[in-house]
Amino acid sequence: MRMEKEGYVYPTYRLKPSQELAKKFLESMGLEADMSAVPPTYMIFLRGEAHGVDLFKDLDIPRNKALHGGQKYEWFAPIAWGDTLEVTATVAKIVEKSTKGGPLWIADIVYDYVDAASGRLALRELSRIIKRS
Amino acid sequence: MDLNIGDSVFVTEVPGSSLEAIALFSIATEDPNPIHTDPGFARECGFDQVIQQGPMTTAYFAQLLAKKFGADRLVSLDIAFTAPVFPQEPMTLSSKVASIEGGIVQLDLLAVKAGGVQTAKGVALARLEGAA
Repeated sequence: MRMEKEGYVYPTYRLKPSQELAKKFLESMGLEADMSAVPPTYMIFLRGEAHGVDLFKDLDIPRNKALHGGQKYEWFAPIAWGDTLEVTATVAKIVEKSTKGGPLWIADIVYDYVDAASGRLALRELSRIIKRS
Repeated sequence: MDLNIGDSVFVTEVPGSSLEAIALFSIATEDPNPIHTDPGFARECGFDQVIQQGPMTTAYFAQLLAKKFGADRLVSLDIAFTAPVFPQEPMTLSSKVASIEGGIVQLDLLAVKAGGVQTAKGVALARLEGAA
C-alpha cells in the first residue's frame, strides 16, 4: 500500500449525469425508470477511473486483493440533468490494521462534486477501499 | 410524518439480482472491476462466483429513503458493507428511527440476507417536513 499517497488530490474532472446510464442504473435494480430526477447515488466514485482516478494502480492495490468497505453520501444541493459537476478526488486517509488474517489497509477516498455553474458543493461522497494481505 | 424513536420506517425485501442485472449495474456505474462479471476473476479473489456491487445496496437504501422522505430531504447516507451478496440472493432492507433532533431524523439501517446474515449496516439522516 502506498501510504505516502494520503492527502493526494487528483486533478479535477468533469461529469454530466447521463439519462441513458441512469435508466440502466434503475433498470438493473428492477426499479421503474423514473427520470424526473437524477437518482441520489447515480454520482459514484467508480466513474472516476475513466477520468484518471485509478486507485488500484496509484495506491498499489491489486484488484484481486481489494474489497469495498463502504460508502458515504452527503447531499448539499440538488443535481439536475444538464448540470456539469467538477469532481475532485482526495485520498483522505489510509490506515493499516492488524487482524488475525494478517494486516489490511483501509483507504478513504473523498469525492467532492461541485456544480460548475454556481461553484457550490452539491455532493460529497466517501468510498472506503480495503486491501487484504 | 409522525415518527417516534424505535419506529420502523421500512422493511423491504429486495429480490436477488440476476447475473445480467449485476452486469448492467456495472455498465450503468462505469465500474470496470471484473469481480462483478467474470467468474474466473471472482475465484482469484476468493469467491465461488461473481459478487453483487456494494453500491447497489447503497442505491436501494437511497431509493427507499427518497421515496419515504423525498430526495431533496436526504442529508446523508453512510453504509458499511459487511458481507458479500451473490447473484440471486434476496436481501431484506430495514430502517428504524434512532433519534429525532432539530427536525432531523436519524435512521439505523440494516441489510440482511438468508440465514440472517448481515450484508450491510449504516446510518441515514433526513430532514423532516417543516424543518429548514
